[in-house]
Amino acid sequence: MKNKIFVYYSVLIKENLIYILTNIVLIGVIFFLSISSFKKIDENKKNIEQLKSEINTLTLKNNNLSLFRKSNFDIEKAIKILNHLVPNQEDYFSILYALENLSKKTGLQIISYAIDLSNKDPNRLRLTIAANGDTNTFLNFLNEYNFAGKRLITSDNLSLNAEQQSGFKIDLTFYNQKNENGISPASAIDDKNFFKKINELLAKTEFILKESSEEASIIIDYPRKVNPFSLQ
Amino acid sequence: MNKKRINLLQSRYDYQKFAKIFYYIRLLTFFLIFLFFLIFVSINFTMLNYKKEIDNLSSQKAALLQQANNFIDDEAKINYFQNKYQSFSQFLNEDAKFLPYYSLLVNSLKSATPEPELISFKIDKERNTEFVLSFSTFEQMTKFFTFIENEAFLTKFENIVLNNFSTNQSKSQLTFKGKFVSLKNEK
Repeated sequence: MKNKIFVYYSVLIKENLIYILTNIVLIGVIFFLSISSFKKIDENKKNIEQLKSEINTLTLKNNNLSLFRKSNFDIEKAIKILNHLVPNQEDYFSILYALENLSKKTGLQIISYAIDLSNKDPNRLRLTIAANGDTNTFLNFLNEYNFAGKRLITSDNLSLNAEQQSGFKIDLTFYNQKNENGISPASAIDDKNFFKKINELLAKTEFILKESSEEASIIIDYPRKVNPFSLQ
Repeated sequence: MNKKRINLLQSRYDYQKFAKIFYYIRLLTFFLIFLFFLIFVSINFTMLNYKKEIDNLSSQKAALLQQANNFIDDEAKINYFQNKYQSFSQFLNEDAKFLPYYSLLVNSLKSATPEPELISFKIDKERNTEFVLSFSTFEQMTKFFTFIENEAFLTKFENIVLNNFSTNQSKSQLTFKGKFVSLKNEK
């Protein structure tokens, strides 16, 4: 009797074996299909995000390009002026020349200067100048010092004392910045006054190119001796 | 007593239980087949959508690249200019902008009665300021206190405090410390 019951069971198992195997296969297939498709979906999402960010950068570039074209803005002139104001490399002679220019234009006599060598910032050079002049020439200096030396000059701390007779001590900072083109992506021109601001700056600093071209036109092509010790 | 009967009912129960399990297994098979097709269809549908989106974005990118490549020289100049101008603006912000704030103070003091004499003025790039005003008499100095509480004068500063005052027979002096409000287009 026991054998008979066992036969029933074995028949039942045989009849359903195909279902059991199908279930095992299906569970495996669903599991692997899900895992592989999650991976693919994730990959696609990353691709889409990357493409979107590339498109944003390219759209930004193209928008900037069309804005610059529409504005009739002389970009080469602006670059030249900015390169004068903030040169790619520091040049001590141009600092001396800037101080001389500044002194000539404002009337404030610069009698000495001291360079702060403890400053480790490669883009900034700080110096303290001692100058002579009255309050009016000092105010004149304050009105002009940012650009009049043909270099960008700032002062982060200034004081004026009416009881001070003639001597002024002023901290000045000169800047340089190597422009690594292409490393930092161009930013969007979202400021509506962007071109207005730049044109105002160009109007203020246009004299730099004018004066520089005048200086360049000084004839230095006079005949020189190849050998300075020769008689001819 | 010898047990000679077989409990057929018990075996039938077991058999039915077993059969029921197999019934559920068969049911599970159909469910899994349905689930498999559902997953298969939805994955293909999602992938198709992603492919469409990627194709669309790639063609957009290609068009923009084509547009940008036509003006590659201009683009390099614009990038150069923008980077340089950005550095220039940052550097210029380090300036204390003495003159606009000095003029602001001098002009607002002109409306004071009696008008004090500005003895010294100091400002840094954060617009923190310190200035000393001088008065010929003590009475003039006390009158001036009504002026500095005036809204028109106070709106020129984010904060301002009387830091020190001194008086002697010839003159009285007030020292103020504070911070100017930011001026737009200072220079």
